[in-house]
Amino acid sequence: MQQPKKPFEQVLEDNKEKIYRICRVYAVTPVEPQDLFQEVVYQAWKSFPAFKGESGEGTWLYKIALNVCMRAKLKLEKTDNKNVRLESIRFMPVKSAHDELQEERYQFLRECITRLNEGDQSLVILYLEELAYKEIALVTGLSENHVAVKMKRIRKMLFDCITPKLG
Amino acid sequence: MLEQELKNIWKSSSEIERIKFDLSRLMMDLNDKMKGLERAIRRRDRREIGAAVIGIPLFAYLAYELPFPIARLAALLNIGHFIYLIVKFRRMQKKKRPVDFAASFTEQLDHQKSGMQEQVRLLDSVLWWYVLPPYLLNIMLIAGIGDPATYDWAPLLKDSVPVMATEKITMIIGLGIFYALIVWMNKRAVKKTLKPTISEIDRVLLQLESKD
Repeated sequence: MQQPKKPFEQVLEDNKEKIYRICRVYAVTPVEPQDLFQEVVYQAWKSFPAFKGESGEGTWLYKIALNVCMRAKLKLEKTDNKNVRLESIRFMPVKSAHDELQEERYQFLRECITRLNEGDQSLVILYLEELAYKEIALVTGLSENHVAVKMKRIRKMLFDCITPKLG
Repeated sequence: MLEQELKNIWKSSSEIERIKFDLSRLMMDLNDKMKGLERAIRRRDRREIGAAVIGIPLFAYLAYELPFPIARLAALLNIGHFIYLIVKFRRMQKKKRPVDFAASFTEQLDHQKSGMQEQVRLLDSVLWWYVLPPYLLNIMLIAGIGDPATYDWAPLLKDSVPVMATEKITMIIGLGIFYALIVWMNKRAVKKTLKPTISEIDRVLLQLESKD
């Protein structure tokens, strides 16, 4: 039986880390992860009335986040769209929880992800988010079999790149 | 082992910042942003048809004031062309489908690509629907201006219209340069902005579709 639809605020609260991770990996100066995050929240809010919940809120949000981030990367959005900041979303740096070593390891991973082509990047991000191939196929619009074939190669490339870095 | 380690590194990457929502203001902020963007779109739409709206009274005045039949006919046809432009712009604005961010990644890119291809077709053909008709009509109008004395015509406009052949030729050349600039600017936008972006989209789509 289908779950009743949660309120938008709840969906956002439950998925904010997922959105932030995607925005963080796609943000390239001068675009900040916070700008992308706000844009994802805005687009999600606009799409929310049409969201029926069949595909699951996670899948739905991954689609929006990837689309927003890829559009920013391909510079498909006009810059004035980004000028409206949502003051009600605050980002507070956390020093203790995320130590320097962890950050260094993340930067290695990010470097290896950005070495992949854009298409592969989107797949590897969803893979790191621990989505099943079926869900990755839903988000990307590819077939499950196609995702599986591609992921085999992408994982090898990722591992080859990251192993020497992590020592 | 490595697989899980990578997933852990990835998952911890969001711990660098704590995100807090002021829920009492969030909906208000989102509404404000939407209204702001809608206002910007309306302003852009108005700008697009602005020139045509200004052109209609101007040519209506010329059609009323000029006593020369060919020039008057050209002014009336110019009004017709402005009306055509307003209708065309309005249709284009209505035809533009908003981006569906909840569509799958490939669907969204395909949609974006077809929208941009439509824009390329439009800008590439600007010569035929935006430039050539008014240019020919303006040549007709300028060439149609006769000797004011023959028509016993002495209004305010008399000193502003080209009567001598040299004045007419200068004006036609000037207009030609102006319209050529419009065509060039549109072709440049296609070459420098739209086509490279379509190629970028194609590249990403190909990357996704390829199994290599």
